[in-house]
Amino acid sequence: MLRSFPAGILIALCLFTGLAAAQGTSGPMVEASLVSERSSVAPGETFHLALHQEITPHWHTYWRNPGDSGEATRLFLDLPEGWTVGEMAWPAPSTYRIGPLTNYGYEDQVTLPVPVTVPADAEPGPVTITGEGTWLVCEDICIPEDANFEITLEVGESAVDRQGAALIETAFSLAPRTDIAIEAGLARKDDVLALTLAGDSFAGGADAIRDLYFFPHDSGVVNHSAPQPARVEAGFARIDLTPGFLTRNAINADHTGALAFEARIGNRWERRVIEVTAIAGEEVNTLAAPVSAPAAGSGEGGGTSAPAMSFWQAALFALVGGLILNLMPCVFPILSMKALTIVQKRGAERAHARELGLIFGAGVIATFLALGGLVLALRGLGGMEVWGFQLQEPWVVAGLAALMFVIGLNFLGFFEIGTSLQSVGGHVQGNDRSGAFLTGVLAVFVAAPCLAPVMASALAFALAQPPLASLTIFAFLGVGLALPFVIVSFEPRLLAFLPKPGVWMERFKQFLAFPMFATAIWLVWVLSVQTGAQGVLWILVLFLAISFAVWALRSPTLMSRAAGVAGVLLAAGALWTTASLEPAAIAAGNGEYEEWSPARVEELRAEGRPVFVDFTAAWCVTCQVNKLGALADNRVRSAFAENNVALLRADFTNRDPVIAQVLADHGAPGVPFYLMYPADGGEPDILPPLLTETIMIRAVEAAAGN
Amino acid sequence: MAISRRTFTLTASLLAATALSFGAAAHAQPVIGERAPDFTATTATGETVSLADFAGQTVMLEWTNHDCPFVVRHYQGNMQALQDEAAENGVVWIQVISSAPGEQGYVSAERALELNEERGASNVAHVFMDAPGIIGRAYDARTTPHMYVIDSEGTLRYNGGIDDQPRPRAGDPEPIPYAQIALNAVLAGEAVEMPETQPYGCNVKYVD
Repeated sequence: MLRSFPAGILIALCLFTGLAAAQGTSGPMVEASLVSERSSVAPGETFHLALHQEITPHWHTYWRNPGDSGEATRLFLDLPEGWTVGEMAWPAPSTYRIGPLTNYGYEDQVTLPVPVTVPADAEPGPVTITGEGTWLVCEDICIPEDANFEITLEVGESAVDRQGAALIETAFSLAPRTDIAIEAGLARKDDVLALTLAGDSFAGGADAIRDLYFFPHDSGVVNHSAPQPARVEAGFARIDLTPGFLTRNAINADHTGALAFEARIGNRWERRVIEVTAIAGEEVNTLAAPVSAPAAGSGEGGGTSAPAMSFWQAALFALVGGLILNLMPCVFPILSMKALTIVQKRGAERAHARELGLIFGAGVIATFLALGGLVLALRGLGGMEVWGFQLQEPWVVAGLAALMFVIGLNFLGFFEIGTSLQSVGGHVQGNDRSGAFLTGVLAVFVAAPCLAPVMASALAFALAQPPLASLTIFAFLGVGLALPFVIVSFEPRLLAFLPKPGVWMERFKQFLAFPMFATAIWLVWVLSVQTGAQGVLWILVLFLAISFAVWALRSPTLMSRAAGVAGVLLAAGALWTTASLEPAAIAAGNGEYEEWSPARVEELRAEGRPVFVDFTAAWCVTCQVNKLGALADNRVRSAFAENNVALLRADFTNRDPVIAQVLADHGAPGVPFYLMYPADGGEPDILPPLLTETIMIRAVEAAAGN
Repeated sequence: MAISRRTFTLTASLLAATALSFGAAAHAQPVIGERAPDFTATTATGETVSLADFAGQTVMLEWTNHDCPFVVRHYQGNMQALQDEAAENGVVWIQVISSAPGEQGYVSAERALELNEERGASNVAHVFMDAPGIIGRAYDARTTPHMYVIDSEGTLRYNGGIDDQPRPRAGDPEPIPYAQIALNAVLAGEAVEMPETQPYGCNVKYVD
């Protein structure tokens, strides 16, 4: 049976090619070549040949220990008589997690050098070396590939091949260092395999060493998918590994591997990889077991203890967040309106004021619950799960702008709200309950854009919870937002701190018209970004129609009322005509920023550049603050330039499922959201929603790797 | 706010990790010399079978994905020959397909049966349709092919590769047929010399 193998392999190899074509992959996924450090070699000399792979983006080939699946790349050389070849040098691998499996390998490109020794009696003249490389290249699927190589070198005076030498030098710079002494032992400690380490490399202790990870050379030594919690103290470290099948019952041999960690140099963290050989059954320090394992999916690492947050903490933060929202510019106009009502309720109508306060609170909380329910429903449907999305609907923005405009007109005394407008949320001055309730609803809608910076975290937490817990957190946000009003309505003595009613009240009310207009202007601007000039035209025509309507309503004579109605009709007609025009596309990225797309990110990363992505939206106030502040700062901009950072902007002003997906993938509840991809191809850093110059400069330096 | 997004992310991942580890604890990891993880599976012919149904018989589990080149290579005759030999010895040979829907190797029950017909794999007793990956995860199956031998008492006796050479080249020594050696030892009532080896091949395409 086994004798039929070689023939079977030949057939199989043909099949592989067919298979690759069938799966829509064209040609080999790896462009491989045999490169040499020397174009000419001297007798007796040892130099390096290397298998160089250019790997199709998103695919990977494997390290010497491929991990849970896969196959290590191999190079076979046919050398002339007397020539000898040594062991392959392997650059430190990256970790690939595929479902429950973990693999070790390389992306983009890798060079795998082998030392070759020329015999001392080699005769001068050209020498041809042939070789064969085999490797497995995988993305979702795996394709075994191989290639034959031929390279001709001159035997004579040693001469460097510059291109080959550069690749091989890079490979060695990325390989684990063998010249740094680290004592290591591998011993069984209860259920774990304790890798104890001692050496000067750990002199800085836990403050200067983090993210330890051990890549064993042999499969079966550790469970590759298990986390590797670590503890570091001055000069010593311990990593708790989960045994693999080779070490499950006994540790019968010393095990060599690559130890990767980050070391702090000044303000920066630098990746180090050192080859260590762990002596079977030995312990080189007595450090206690590290704190329990970090999240299984958290990539390399351990050592960092994760701060936990309970449900009630999250609820408390939601409450505090809601309170803070009261001070936000988006909410301030609402606050003012309500304050006005309460001021007017002084004296005899206290009981009524209390009732209105509670109804307002109920309105706020009910709206939060409704929105929370909606978000959860959408989350369940796999749809939009991003906060602030209601402001992505141009008609909602337009409606709010119109509402603000009407309220502004009202505050200026242009008209008094009559019974005819009672059902509108803008009926803020009235005493009735639905007015108070609608004011609460309105408050939440207007507050949405301000939620992001304050509540990003609590929302992220809420969204990761079971529905009931999520809703409770949403409700607590509402409680926080409504609380000040409710307190004031219940404790009228607090009102003693407010001035007495009088003429000033009329002036104050008039003054409040201006924040309303300001908000309306901002919303019109949002609309302009969403729909282009067309949307601005519509909303301004709508304003005109509103003005006419208001004028008609308060006109004393039938004649002028008719004129007002005619104006409304004319304006509506204009709206009808213009509405048939398509909204303009959103403006693309501006200035130094390119328009974002996942493909563009990959392209730029392939060039080895750090990439900064600004996920923003016109309706997001914090985004604008960052844009005008930290991101516009000259030091930040020169840091971008110096480090060749590619700048991309992802505009979430309108709905965009791709952006929504990226946000969801990173657990971000909305914008602002900032990603900084490092130049070395590693995982991106998530920057905080509120940026500062220092945060930006540090992030740029970390991403550039200097 | 004093709490960072990172804190929340960490918390969320911790919660997820806790949930996952509870999930994992529910499935015993396969341990050589102990009871093989139990399973109840729907086969390609629509039967429902459990490990207990095979009491008194030796069971061979083979993880497969007909599009994986390593599987394709072994189905050039090697795998069928192993299956035929096993059948002669009364071994229950079970293929398990743990590829998630949409992933390479995922097939309908009809197609799974057709494939064996096309390949002349006539001595496969059952094909387990394990799209949710429940049996795969219980056995910690990592590659295609990945082989397991369970003896007549239901004890796991072998877990690993089909042989030691992912890609034998002309002139290489013959591959050491680990799985066959293990099966023969179990049938002969002897100890398996290498009860665990490194499986090789394509990764099992589990559902996320």
